Amino acid sequence: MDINFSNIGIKGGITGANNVSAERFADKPGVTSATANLTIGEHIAGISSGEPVAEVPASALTRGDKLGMLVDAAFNLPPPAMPDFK
Amino acid sequence: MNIEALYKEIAPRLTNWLVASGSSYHEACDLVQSTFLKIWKMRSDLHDSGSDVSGLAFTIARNLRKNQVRDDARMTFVDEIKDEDAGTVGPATSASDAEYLRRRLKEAFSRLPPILREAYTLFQIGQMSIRDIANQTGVSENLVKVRIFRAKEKLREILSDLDVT
Repeated sequence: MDINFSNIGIKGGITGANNVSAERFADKPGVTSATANLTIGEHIAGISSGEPVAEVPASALTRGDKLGMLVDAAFNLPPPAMPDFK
Repeated sequence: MNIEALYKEIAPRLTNWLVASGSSYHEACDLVQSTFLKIWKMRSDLHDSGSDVSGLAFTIARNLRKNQVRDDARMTFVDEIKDEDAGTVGPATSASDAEYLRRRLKEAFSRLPPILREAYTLFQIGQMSIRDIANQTGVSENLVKVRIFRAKEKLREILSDLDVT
């Protein structure tokens, strides 16, 4: 049997099953070539939003930008007292 | 396991992440303490790796909070943190005031899709690595990066008046 994972993925994506993976079909009767290790939901998310999934520049992931500094300044609350570990 | 050293390292990040994720300060403190008491009970089954314990702590805290949210209808995203709760003094009056910023940011976080909010807050406030966030959330590292990127873009848009571009 020839299973088209693209079609399965699109169906999963449309119905909101964001974690549909080819691996889930690997052990199903009749599936002979389920070797893809691709989270279909991720693929669909990229298509549906029109944004690239894998091309995020490292500079965009810094914690030290203005936004990050603002967040760090705001969320600098003290932790609670240490519990009594016995 | 040096639970005290782990607590000192992880508890501040976990407390602030819980507050950023919608808990009040008091709720966050209770959750952090409950989380570490659970870890202490599990100590014989754990490796003494700070990274492993950190991930576990965030997982336990997240699950405890889910239970709390389910059981407590009072939980909201824009809960005020009272001055006496957080150890700050005086009312919020300006953008330089931490409480004001916290309120603005919590409000902004609440406007993000949950998957973006989680990725960004774990990254920035939880100080977790991309790999740890991927393990924590069950998605690829690439997707974590995309979610952080998108969250930052949306936050910059929402908070444009604070000059965070």
